[in-house]
Amino acid sequence: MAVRTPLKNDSGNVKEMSSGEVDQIIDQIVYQYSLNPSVSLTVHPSGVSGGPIPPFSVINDTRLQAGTVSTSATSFPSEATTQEPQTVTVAYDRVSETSATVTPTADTGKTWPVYYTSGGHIQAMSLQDVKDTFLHPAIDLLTAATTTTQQAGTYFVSTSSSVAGATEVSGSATPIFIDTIANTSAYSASTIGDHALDNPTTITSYYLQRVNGSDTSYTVPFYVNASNNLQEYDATAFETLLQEWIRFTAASSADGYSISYSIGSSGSGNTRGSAMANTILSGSGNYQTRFVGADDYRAQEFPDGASTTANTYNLYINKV
Amino acid sequence: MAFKTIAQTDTLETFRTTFNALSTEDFGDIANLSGAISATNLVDAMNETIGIATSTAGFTIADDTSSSQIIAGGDTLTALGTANQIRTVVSAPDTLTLSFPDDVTITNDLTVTNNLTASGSTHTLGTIEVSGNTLRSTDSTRINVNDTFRANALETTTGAMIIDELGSYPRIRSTRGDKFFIFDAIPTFNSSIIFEGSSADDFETTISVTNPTADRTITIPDASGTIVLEGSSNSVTSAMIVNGTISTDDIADDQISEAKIADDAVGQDQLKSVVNLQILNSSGGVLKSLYGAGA
Repeated sequence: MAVRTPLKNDSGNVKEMSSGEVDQIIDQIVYQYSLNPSVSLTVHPSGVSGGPIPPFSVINDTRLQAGTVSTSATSFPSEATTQEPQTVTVAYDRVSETSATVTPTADTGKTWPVYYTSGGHIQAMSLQDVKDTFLHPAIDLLTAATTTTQQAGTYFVSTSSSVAGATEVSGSATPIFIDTIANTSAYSASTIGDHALDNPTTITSYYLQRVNGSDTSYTVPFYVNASNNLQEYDATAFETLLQEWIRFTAASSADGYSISYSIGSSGSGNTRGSAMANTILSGSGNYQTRFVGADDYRAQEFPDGASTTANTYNLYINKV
Repeated sequence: MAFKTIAQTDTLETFRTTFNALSTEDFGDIANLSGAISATNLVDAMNETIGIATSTAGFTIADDTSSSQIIAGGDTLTALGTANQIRTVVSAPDTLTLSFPDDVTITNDLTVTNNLTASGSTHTLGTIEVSGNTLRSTDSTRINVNDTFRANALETTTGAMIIDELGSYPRIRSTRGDKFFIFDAIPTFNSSIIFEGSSADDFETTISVTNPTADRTITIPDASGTIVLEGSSNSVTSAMIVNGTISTDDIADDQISEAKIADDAVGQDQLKSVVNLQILNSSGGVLKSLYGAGA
């Protein structure tokens, strides 16, 4: 672990950056990541072909539907013989994760910013120094539980399809999960046999959002140019270099700082955004009868009860 | 001298004093009697004196030692000279002339209380010979003068060197056309040497020394050229300065301008409290060393 303090141009003098200035560079790295995230989530309205791709799991929305209609020509079927309300399960596997393959610029020995050594010299940072100073702190920000601009380019779940400072991933307001329960008002004794068994109503739709980035000002540090002189980075070149390496780090680093998402009732890392609740009515059935004609006696159990949360799902962001 | 008497009533003391006075004052001391008198008592001496005086018309002659002789009447006084010393000439009627011979030899000192004139061509005093206007030693090549010797002018054998006075100034001259004057010596001056130059005017150049407090040596090098003075300007050339001799003390503070420093001439050793700032690559390899003055 070697966190370095980059050197900057201070009115013609060489000066160590403040911690605040280092943080500004880290924020810029986050912004660069947001411009082209290397770990991206995609919403598939029809679900992922072939099922969810690990680490994603199927998340289910469950609700009750009415039991089948029981009939008799002589009398109403008893409650005991009438089928109980049944559980309907809708599986959601609409999110997939893709990690880009990034080949960043290799360290030439003087690729990275310079710092002042304890021995009183000026030395170019090693890649490990850059990781410790910039990249890993940036990953720490990106994988935090919050969803501010310091997490730009990463994802969260919202109950709204439109969130300020974020972009709905599907682009068409396609939920990644819809919590439904039985619409009890759709059932009536007078329509037993006529109404559908499954009459869902949506409680909450959940949308995948990506945090938008915000460009931040920062001070470009010095680096060692081809003539072995100190030179300020060209901002565009520096930002390109940062973007390459934060993308590579997030997608491919093997030192515990790559980004991974998962959706499930449990997971590693920080949860992102709204928890997705799967609610369901908790009743044991609302037994109703209908006399249709001389030899047509009908009975049915409608969904009833209070809404309870059967499951809670979260989007997790994690460093692996 | 009165006669003396002694009365019958006089005392013996009176008699004694009267007698003594008579003996010493009236008769005198017999020891003082002229040697020419042979008598031993007063009466006989008087008688002898009377005899001489009455028998001859002589006289007494004496010399420097008071030796005397009575020249009796009729006797001959012979005056003899001494060879190369004095010559006597008797001439009529009664003249004795004393003179020096042509060649006089004085066997002892000669003192002349007035002028001494020698008109011969060569004169010798001791071993000092005066011949005409030439003075020399007859027994050596040097004449010693034990007192101050003063002359209107002193010249060497041919007059090549002349020491004389010019007005109120003493002068040493070389009469050679080239004015060469050889000093096979180490002249020692008091404090200054003045050069009149080619024109005898009111302007001279003076070389002066501050009073030395120890032995000092100023060496004029084996070279031709013009001596550079403290007040000279634009005179000292690079060739006159021995390489590597100008020290820091010779240079005033803050005087070396940038233009006087050659490109790539300032190295790390010239920097005060030098510090080495290295630019390293990410592996620690030295890419460049920047040397600077330390704090």
